[in-house]
Amino acid sequence: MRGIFTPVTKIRRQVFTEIARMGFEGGDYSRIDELPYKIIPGEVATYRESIFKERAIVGERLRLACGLPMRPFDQHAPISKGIEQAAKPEKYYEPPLLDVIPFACNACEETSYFVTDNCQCCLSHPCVSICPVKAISIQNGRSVIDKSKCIRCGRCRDACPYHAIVKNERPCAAACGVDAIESDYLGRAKINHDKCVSCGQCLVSCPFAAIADKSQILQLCQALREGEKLIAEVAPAFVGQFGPLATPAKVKEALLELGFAEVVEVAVGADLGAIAEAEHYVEHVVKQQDLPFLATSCCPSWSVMAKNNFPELAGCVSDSLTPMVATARLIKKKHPDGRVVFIGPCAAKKLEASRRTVRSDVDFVITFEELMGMFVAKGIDFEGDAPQDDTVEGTKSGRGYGVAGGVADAIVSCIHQLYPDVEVKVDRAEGLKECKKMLLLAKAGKRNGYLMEGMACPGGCVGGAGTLLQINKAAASVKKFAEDSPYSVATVSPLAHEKLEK
Amino acid sequence: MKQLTVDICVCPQCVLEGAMSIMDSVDSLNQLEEQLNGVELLVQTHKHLGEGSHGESAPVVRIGEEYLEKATCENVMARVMALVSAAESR
Repeated sequence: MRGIFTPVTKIRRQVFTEIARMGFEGGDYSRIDELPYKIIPGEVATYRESIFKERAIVGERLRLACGLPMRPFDQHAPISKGIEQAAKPEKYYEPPLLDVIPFACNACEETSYFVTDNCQCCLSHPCVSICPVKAISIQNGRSVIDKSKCIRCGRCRDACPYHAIVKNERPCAAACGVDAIESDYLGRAKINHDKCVSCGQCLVSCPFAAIADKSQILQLCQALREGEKLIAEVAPAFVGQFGPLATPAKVKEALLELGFAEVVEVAVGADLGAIAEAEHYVEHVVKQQDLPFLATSCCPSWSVMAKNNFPELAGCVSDSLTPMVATARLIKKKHPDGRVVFIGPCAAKKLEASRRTVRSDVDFVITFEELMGMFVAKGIDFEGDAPQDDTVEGTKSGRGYGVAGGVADAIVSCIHQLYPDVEVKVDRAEGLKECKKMLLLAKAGKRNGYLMEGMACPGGCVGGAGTLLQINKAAASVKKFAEDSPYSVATVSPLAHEKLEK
Repeated sequence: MKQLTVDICVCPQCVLEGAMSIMDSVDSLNQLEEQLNGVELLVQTHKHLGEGSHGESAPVVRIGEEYLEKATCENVMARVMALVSAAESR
């Protein structure tokens, strides 16, 4: 489903655009009650069994897009309930960030195997022979699986010569790398928030648009409308996300047109982070050897998963500032009266920005998809000529953070520059399931001396839940933009020079 | 017909409504060499197609001289394959 524009994508983006439009226009926000009729017009249902259900689901999505919680489903409440409290030009939302809209959920069956019409009732029926618990029998000319006995080992599927036995997986649960998807009393998906790391992969995998995250679009639009001094820090994965017309320079111009006072590449902070982690690795893994390995920390979902599931390895996860925070602190040093808006590919950064240690650095977080909704709501196009841009740029290394492998490459480049005699062993993983496997190896002592990069999303940040572009195209765009940087490695960026001289 | 051009509007409204997905879909048809029977599909992007702002009509696609509003991946691919088949049968 990733990279394919479906009705799920359409509804999500329509919600962002309408909330942004409302935020820019201001006025009486109770008109949010009318928006489901704009997004789902007419009398005939398009997506579900009832147009009323479609509008009810959109209503909850509109609330979540305003940072509001879902309404209790057994009590009457308008969509606009609580919106006046939310409509302030400051960050507003309470956890959980991500949640299932229960009545939108299809209550997909949890992992199971079933026999399709492709079954030929063959003479050999290896499915019967291979089952370790005698759960399969031949009935009425067809192989039948007794689900009360089935232990879901999958051997029958592998044995069938017609591939007639298929594995049915709940898409959200299959996408979740931390097994945080459970079931409620009606069999609907339910997120275990103690396990969830807000990577957003379930959100983009659900084919029923039943999972959504909270947004800060309304509050940000309000702040822009009121003329607050807002500085945008844009994650390295932004390149190509807004269409072929939106070159990096034009994206910056569009952000200024939206009302941002300045635009800064987060690659700048990534460069500083790469140097810090290079020094950390050499000092603790190579010289003092008080750490068996060093794991990167710029991906919040990966670092939270590592600390939650492998607490004994928590000390090995780098405590360097993430690029988002490092860049935000640079911005606040230059603009003490400004507020920082992180624009990135993922939902997890919203959670990172809510942490007590980060809250004063980053004021708002929105995704590329949400930003695109804001561009459309404001009628901004990318047709004008981009002005000359003389701001500090990220290096090739820093810009490469957006693609899997880029973080490790940046740190290794720094190590080679600063400590040419040090050899670095690297391992990396994409997707939280693979990240867990990597940490199991580390726990078993098989990654001593390594630098380990973990990314919760496939392809790295370009595969984040808030992206618009297909992952491989996004990766190619990011790599090209990285090559265009006048600086190659993090150690040669102007800001890095200041840090190193200290 | 040796070449069929598909023009896709990539204004922000159309991008938000799936223009890039339509681009990928049409590009992917070039892999169906047997079914295309020698016809080359060319995808061109435009900063604006047709008249006025797209709003409700996004995304907008033009196949030859024919405009499609509220285009979807499946509609565009189906129309392209229909044109290819029609050309083949002449």
